Amino acid sequence: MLKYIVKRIMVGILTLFVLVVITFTMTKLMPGSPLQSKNITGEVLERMEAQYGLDKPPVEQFFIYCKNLLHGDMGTSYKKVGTKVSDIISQTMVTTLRLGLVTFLLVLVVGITSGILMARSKSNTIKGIWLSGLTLGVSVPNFIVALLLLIIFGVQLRLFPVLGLSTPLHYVLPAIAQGLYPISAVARLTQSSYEEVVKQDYITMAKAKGISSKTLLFRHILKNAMLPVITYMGPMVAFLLTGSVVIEQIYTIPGIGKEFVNAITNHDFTLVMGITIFIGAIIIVCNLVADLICAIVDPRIRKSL
Amino acid sequence: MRLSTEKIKKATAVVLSVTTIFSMAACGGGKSTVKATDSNEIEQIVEANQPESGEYDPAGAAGYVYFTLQSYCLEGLIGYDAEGKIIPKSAESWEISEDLLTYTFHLRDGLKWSDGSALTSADFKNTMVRALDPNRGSWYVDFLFVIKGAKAAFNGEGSMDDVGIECPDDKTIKITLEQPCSYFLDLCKLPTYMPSCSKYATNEDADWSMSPETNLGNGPYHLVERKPGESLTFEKNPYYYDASNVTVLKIVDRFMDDDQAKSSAYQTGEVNIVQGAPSSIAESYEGKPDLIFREVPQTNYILFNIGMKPFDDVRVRQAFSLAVNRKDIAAVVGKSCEPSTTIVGKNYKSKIDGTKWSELQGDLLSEDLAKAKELLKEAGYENGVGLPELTYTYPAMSYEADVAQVLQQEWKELGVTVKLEAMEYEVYVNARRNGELMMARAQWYADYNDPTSWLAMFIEGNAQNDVKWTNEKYNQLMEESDKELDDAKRQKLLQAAEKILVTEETVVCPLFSNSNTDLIDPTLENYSFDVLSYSDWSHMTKKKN
Repeated sequence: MLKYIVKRIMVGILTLFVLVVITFTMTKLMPGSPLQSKNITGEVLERMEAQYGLDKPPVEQFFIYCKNLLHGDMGTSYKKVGTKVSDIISQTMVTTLRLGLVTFLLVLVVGITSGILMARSKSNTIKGIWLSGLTLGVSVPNFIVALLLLIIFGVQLRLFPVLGLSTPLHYVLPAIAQGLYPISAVARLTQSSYEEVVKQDYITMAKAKGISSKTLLFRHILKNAMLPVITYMGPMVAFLLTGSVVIEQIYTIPGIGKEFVNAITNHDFTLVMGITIFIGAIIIVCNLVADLICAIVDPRIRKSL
Repeated sequence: MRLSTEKIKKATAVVLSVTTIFSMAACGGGKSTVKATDSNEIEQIVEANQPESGEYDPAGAAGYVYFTLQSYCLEGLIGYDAEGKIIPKSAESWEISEDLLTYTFHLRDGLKWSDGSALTSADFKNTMVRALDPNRGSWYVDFLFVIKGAKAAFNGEGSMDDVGIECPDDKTIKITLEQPCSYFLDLCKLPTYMPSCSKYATNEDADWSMSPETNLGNGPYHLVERKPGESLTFEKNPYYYDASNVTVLKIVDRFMDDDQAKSSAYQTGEVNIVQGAPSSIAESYEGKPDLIFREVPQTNYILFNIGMKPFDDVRVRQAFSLAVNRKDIAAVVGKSCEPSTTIVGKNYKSKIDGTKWSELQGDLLSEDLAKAKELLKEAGYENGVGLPELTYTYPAMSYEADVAQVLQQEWKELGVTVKLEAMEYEVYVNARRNGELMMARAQWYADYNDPTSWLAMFIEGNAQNDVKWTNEKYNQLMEESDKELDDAKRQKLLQAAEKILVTEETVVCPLFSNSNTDLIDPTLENYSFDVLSYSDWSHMTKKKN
């Protein structure tokens, strides 16, 4: 097990390094200087480029960058002059995390309960309606959901505010818009996996032994039915943590996803690099954690490690 | 299940049109969320601003949002009245020496910062000295180079002690110039001439400008809260000398960049003012009292690369300029746009009597296809035969593609085929600066209130002179105008210089001038915009029904 974790971490670090190399090369290949602004010209521009080390050859810049990165220094932003990239990431991350957590809880509660309810439901009509609802939830892009919710419940009905995240009410629309897709996916996974598990011999056996229905549900069915859901959680949590660009844009939420897009359009290379590495690290960690949880829950996986 | 792209496109189109109909139906139906107190003061207004960038240090990276802070929190030596005449602000009076080289400003009595401490002449000097430190990365340091010894000090060729900025006492600041500069007072509205509190604002502390505790104000407001990436909050400055006339107690600036978000937040009343609303929003407010057009000193033009064939020939440049129908272009851009034949902003108001520059100059160019064809023939390219491949480059933004297509169509009538090329903004600026573009779209907003803000770009050796144009007569007229303190005579010199640039040599082809469109809660009144189009909400009140 420990060997497995160490191996996964090493692979993760290697992946990150490759990511750094690729991102660095790509930002260097991007035409246009980040310092181009209408009032900086001539000598002033040259001096500023020198300050950021842009006058050095790219290979040297890369080594300087890596060296600083190892010391935890991601550099300073070009456009938010004087602000450290790590500060920008931690500031925007808090906002994204707040919304991500609310969405995550929403997905867990609504997704799993509705999945179980549907698996247990016997009415084909309800199941049919529910399934079409899920298909819609999975297939409609979240920017359309976000816009529709904003215009209908925000602007038309004035039920919810639409700007930022300052009060609990502000979370409602963006959390639903962001959560619709994962809710549908989790619900569908829970349902199919639940139906699968119920058919297993050991459930029949447990029933025959006269185990209470509560124990049966939680200990025998859910514990096994949740495995595919947990595997799916890894990328989903990563998706929520890294923020949805579109949702943050539409609801003016100063999160990391929005910052990332702005950084790219602004040619703010250090910030682009910093956020890419950060998001990469989160995805790697989330996948690792999901795999580990699976191993803890499922003895078959644990033994194979 | 997979949907075909065609189906997705159709579905998206349906949803988007539904949302548009919804949002249009919702326009103007909102109730004002602005609250007024019993004494007709306004508790708070919220305005949508651009995304945060740069710093809030007048001697630093002064980006778009900095200027919002400057217009609320900082008061410079001079200001402008409604007609654009220079009026005293922090400086009560000033004297100009006979050789036009020394400006002595006398500050008002009892000026204070927002923490109650005294504002002195040293605070003005503080910004200038800090900006001249090359490591500070000031975006407006160039405008200090008119001061004696400033450029040398910045480049490390001279000492800071030799720079012509002196503070003989707490209330006096004396500035000595390198050469006479008749528009020096106008420069005093630029960031590098604003005060910064010597107590906190130092180049050693890189973060002072980002914190409300250290970024003090001397204007009607001061910064009280900064939420990074989210908002800035300003409150009335009780120590401002004219505080009794400030009626808006609190202003919140939200950083927003999505058009739909701005429009929605305006409709729900979460935002009361959207400055520079994009045309997609503005159109749905047409005819409603919310929509305000604000004239801006701005010009959009084409820059011909005189270093490239065939534009090294003045006749070709003139032919291309005369073949353009500016009305067609303005129609494509929208209601806020007017055709322009001057490089100086059409809406720039003369300092003598407030006449608009476009009226003073008349038409410097007029559409004349026959003459254009004739000129092209004279240049040896009859009906466009023999021309190399021609490219017009524009930044991929807003209406630029539409403008480019109209131009292409009009040049076709001249018998010329022009290739259109869109570039990402940063890439485009870089290419234009390096003189790589044959015909480039360009746009210029005045930095300060004077025609030289446009015209000085074309003086030999100016850092903004991208195509390295040089014309002896032009340079001479510009130099003379710098030494001319008589406004009327000076204006004549500048008018003559512009004629060389636009009519005789046609280095540039002016196209149009655009106004800003704002959405402002229609229950508000008593606000104004200065000649550089900065807003003043401080005296705003709520309309009485």
